[in-house]
Amino acid sequence: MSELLRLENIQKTYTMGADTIQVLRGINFSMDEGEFVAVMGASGSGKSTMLHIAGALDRPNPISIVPLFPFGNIIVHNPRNKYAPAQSGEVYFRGKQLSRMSRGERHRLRNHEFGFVFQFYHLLPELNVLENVLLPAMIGAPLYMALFGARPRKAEAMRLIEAFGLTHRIKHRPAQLSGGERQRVAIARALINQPALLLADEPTGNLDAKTGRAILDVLIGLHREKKQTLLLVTHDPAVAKLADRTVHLVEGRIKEGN
Amino acid sequence: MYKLFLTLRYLTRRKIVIFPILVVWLCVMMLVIVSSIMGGFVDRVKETNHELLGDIVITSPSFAEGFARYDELQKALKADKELGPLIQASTPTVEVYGLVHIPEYQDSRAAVLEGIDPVGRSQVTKFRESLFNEYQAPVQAVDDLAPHLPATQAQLVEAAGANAEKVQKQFGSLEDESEKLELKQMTSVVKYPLDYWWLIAIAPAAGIVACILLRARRTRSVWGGLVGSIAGIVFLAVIVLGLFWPVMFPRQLKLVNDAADQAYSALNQAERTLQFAQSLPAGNYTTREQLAKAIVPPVPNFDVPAAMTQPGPTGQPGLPADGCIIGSEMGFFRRNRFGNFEHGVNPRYTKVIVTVFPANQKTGGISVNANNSVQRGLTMVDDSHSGVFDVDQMYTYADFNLVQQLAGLDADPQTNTGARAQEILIRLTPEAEKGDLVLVRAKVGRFVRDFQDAHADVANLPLEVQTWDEKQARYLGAVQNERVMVIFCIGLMSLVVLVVIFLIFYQIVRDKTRDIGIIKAVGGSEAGVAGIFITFGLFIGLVGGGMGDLCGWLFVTHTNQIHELIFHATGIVIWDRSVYLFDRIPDTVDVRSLIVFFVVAVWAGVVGALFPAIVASYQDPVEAVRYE
Repeated sequence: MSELLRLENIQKTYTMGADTIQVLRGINFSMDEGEFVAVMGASGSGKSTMLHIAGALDRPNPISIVPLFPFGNIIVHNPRNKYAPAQSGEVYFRGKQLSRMSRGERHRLRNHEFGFVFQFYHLLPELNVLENVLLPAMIGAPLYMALFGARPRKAEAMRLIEAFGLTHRIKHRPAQLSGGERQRVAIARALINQPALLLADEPTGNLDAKTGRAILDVLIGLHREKKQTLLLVTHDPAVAKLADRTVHLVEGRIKEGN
Repeated sequence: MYKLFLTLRYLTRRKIVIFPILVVWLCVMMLVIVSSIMGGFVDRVKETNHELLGDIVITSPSFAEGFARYDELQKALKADKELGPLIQASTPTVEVYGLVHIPEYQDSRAAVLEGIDPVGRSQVTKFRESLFNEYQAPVQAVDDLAPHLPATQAQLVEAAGANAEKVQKQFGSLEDESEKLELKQMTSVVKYPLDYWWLIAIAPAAGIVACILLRARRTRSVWGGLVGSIAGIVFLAVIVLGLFWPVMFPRQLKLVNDAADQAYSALNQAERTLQFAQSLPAGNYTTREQLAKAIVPPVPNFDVPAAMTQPGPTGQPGLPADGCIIGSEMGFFRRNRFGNFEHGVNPRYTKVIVTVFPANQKTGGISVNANNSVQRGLTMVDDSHSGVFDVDQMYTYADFNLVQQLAGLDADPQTNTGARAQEILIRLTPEAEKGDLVLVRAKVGRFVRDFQDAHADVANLPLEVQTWDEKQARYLGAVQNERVMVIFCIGLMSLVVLVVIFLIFYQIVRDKTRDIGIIKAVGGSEAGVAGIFITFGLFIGLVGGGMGDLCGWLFVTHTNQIHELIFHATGIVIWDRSVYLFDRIPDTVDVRSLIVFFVVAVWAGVVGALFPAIVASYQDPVEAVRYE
């Protein structure tokens, strides 16, 4: 199987007031297409940060920082890429460097190739189930479709909603759904554009054991039946056991193992 | 696509959106109303001034001395190859300051006595249309009789008589009702609420009792609850009555008096119409034009009916043979709430004594004293309502030659000076009027200069040639300035709209931080996120501006009806037409202002949303999606 994602020497530091917290200290990680990898680690170990960087939602640290007191820091940009600062490390997706991509390419990548599932579902409260699922499909769709009331990929959305047992909830808004239903909507939304990589950030973390298990069944089913590549962050060893491979994040570094 | 989609969803599913829309809506509506009504005033003032002066005015450099050869100048202008075809009519005027005294009313007014040729004046200005007996009353009679056409004279008399009888009955019953109501009000206990302070004092006392006993009610005390309820009702009732008494109580009387006022005017008109019908030559009348020809006199004049000038049967002297026309606002006519002057059934012929103070070289120079004042008895034959208040309250019109003589501007054979005028009013042909008035004025100016060069005795200084609006520039400029100032002030107030939109959007952006993170996580760009909020602002401007324009337009076009509605509901007269120039509140919407305010509303919506939109676009999606 070919390599889908590779993270090389990723470093990430957060500044909180006077304190600097180094979350990732040189992550090296790769995964193949069709693989299901679980990322485990204690709270605050940088699992979500790693997922966000892998999914082009965040960037690694810029490396060239020149302090210019009292005006702050100057970031020296990568001379080969006008779009991004020089980074401590690099993310490769299908062999392409993310740091060399323009803003537009990164947006398209998030829209077409990555699907995000968050712990807190993050559905838009003003939209109903169908509209929430269709949101990524509408991004990039031409204006005339909105003007004529057309919905891109509506058939696909209906299929997903039916597959996840939400047909009777199609017109309901997130506030009218249970936690499990919301998470199923979030997964359907992540899958609408048939992404190459599904990034799930503790998708069962906010659910009871039974509902959480049902959500996991959905994700594992996707992996097994559709060969969906899945990068799942969890701190639950039982969840991690279901993955093809588990990586541990300890003090900002990867430790592979089952 | 998602920008438009999300914008529509936010618009339809977030209640907070109503507030910026409402603010934009109300501001635009307010601006449309103020601009249109003020604009209506300005336009009406301009129109009346134009109607008063014609198109071009040639003025004497010296008011007291006037200028000679005015007849020759008019003829020369008309004969000129270039200017002649552009001029429809011209007329000279002469003015002198003085006093008007009406012995019958034992009242005097400072006045300007203006000498005019009524026929010529009517060709240049709308003088004829401003006259009541000469024009307005007969035209109204034609309007009243026209629905009965075709009819014979006898049938018209019958119809007018029946109408007069009906109006008479109506007026009689309204008068009776008014008397009864007045008596009721005079004897009423609640005439003036403040006289019965104790009644109002009950309200807070009842309120306090209600509050104390509310506790008793909560503790399920039946008596406490009952007394508390009664006290509460008394409290509310007195407050409500106290608020509305001063307005509501006299309302009924006001409405009846108002209806009686209208009925009185209608009665006078009905009787005038009956007289006109009776005076019609016998025959068959089929068309309105035929009727108008028989009723409306063809030209205005200062003629006093011969019977009026004869001594009376008891030996009292007859009225002077020279007629004059009094300005309608000189205070000799009452004006009702509808802005109509109350005229009797018959033309009011009464003696007017004018005392003028000519102050030119012929009459002894500029030192005005009692020795060179001139007094003359005239007979009021009509009244003129031009619509320009300053004119209607100051001007009395008499025959040109007579006033010329009184002002000492007539020909003087001893010094060999010709008769003089002070102004020549010129009306251009409709085609020339549509063209460049300033250009024609310049041509007339050159012609007048050449004329003066050729005739040294016209005047010592050059004559002034102005267009009608140049002549009234200071007055019109002041009215225009008022309009600009009011719109500017309201526009300044409307900056609040921008701040409100900004604040509400900023709040929405803060509320939507997580949504922004989600949108970016699923592939939305910075520009896309900013676009959502800018489109949102655009929609608020479009909806608010559109609704504001629509409501403003509806309000302005129905201003007079709304005013009547308020009057009938409360008895309050907001627009007292008896003290205003115009008898109708301007109700024409300025389309340009509709467009301008709509564009400004849309602009304000976009600008108000711009900064919050930029803030939103730079939100870090990771921060947004990290927490619930």
